Amino acid sequence: MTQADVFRALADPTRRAVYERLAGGEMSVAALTAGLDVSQPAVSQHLAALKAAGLVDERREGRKVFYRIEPAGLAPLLDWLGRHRAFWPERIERLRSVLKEMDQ
Amino acid sequence: MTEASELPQDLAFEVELDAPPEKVWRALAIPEIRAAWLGEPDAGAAEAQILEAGARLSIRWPIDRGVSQIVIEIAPAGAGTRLRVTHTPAASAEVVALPVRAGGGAVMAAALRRAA
Repeated sequence: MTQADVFRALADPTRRAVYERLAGGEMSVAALTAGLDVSQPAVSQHLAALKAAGLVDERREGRKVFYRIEPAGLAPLLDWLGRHRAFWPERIERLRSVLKEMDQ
Repeated sequence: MTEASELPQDLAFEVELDAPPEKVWRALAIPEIRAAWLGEPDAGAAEAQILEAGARLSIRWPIDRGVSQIVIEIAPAGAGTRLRVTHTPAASAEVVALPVRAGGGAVMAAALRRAA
C-alpha cells in the first residue's frame, strides 16, 4: 500500500468518521451507520475504500460482516510523518553549525 | 487505487548554505564530519557512496523495517552552495509491515483532519 493510497482514503471526512468510529473496536455496517448521517450503502462503499487502502479489515460471521481497524494500515503515514517532521530540519540546522565551526 | 503516482513517495528539498561547495563537500564526504551533523541510524550503520566527487553522494540509511536511500547533491550558488536532498523511503511493502502502537490511529486521523 502506498502513502498516496492511505492519504487519499483518509482525505474524505465521512470516511474518516467511519474509520474513527472503529477505534473503539469491531462493528457491523448497521451499527456504524446508526451513528452517522449517511446511508448504509454509502457506509459500505467507504468501508470498501478503507479496506482497499489497507486501513480496515473485515470478519465474516455467517451472513454478518464485522469491520475493524487494521493497525498496520497507518504505517505509511507514520513513516511519512517521521521523515518530514523532524529528520531533516534538525539535521540541516546541525550542518549549518558544523560548517561554521569548520571556519576556525 | 489507480492514481498511486499522484503524491510523491520521495521527500525532496533544496536549501542554500552560506559556505562554498568545496567546504560543504568536506562536510558530506568526510565520515567523521558527516556523522557530526547527520548522526547515525538507530538501526545499524549508514553506508555512503560517492557518486560524483565534489557533487553527489548517496547514503543507505537503515531503518527498523528496511533501508531508505538518501541522495545529496550540491552545486555552487553565488558565494555559497545549493544542497539538494532526495530521501526515498524503504519499499512500501516493508513499511506496511510495521506494527502501530495503540492509539496511533486516532492521533493520525486527528492530524489529517487538521491538515484537510
